[in-house]
Amino acid sequence: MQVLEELDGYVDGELSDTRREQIEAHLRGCDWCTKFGGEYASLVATLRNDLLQAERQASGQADELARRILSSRDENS
Amino acid sequence: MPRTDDNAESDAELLHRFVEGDDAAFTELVVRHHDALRRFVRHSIGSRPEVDDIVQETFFAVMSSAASFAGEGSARAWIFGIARHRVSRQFRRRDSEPENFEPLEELGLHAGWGNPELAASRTRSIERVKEALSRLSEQAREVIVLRDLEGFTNPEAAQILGLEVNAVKSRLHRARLALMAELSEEEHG
Repeated sequence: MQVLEELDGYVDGELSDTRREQIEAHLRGCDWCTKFGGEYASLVATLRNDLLQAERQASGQADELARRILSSRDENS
Repeated sequence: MPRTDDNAESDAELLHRFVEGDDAAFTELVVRHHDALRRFVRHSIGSRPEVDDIVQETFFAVMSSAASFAGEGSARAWIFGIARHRVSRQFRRRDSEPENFEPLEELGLHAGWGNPELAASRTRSIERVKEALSRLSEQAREVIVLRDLEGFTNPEAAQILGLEVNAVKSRLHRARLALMAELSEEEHG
């Protein structure tokens, strides 16, 4: 359970070196912790890389929106 | 992890320049954050026609309250916090909605913890991950979008969500497990 609780700290690189080494030592001796941790890390990597890549499309609307907002301010001032 | 050029002027500097009368600084802020903000709002409310209205209202609010940004915390998080407030107000979202307090161990079991078969290596298409993400609670979805998709740090996500940093960490852990559970359920019925 403790490994489960600390998975985010491990995946996000927020653990101390000592704690990370302790978890890695545990993972070396625990097959299903290794599998689960691998799946967890893989899902986070998918979200961070692949999903962002899939959704990153320039809308091309930003310049026009900024212009409209600034014009609206000028008209109302 | 703001996704901007390291050499670029900071958001706080752009806000300051805009307050001093430089409209180009406001345009730069909109260009810099428009697409990410639109993704965040779309994940919050789905692909509704109101998405672009909320993005526009957010930048209107940034323009009219730029002088009130006190420089505490991240300016990017401040802008996203305004968008989140707009979403909450328009869709009458209840921020006081109780958190999912399912014991962590049970959440882990649903996600495949302790079950070698469920934890076996899986291949996932982006479409399936997106669909599973859309089935999560709004609270779970928004913390994943902020931390994993948009790259906010835990303190920045805490600033946007109005939570303590430890509460963000706990919510993120539960949200990621819930996402794994959704994907497992889909695969194993």
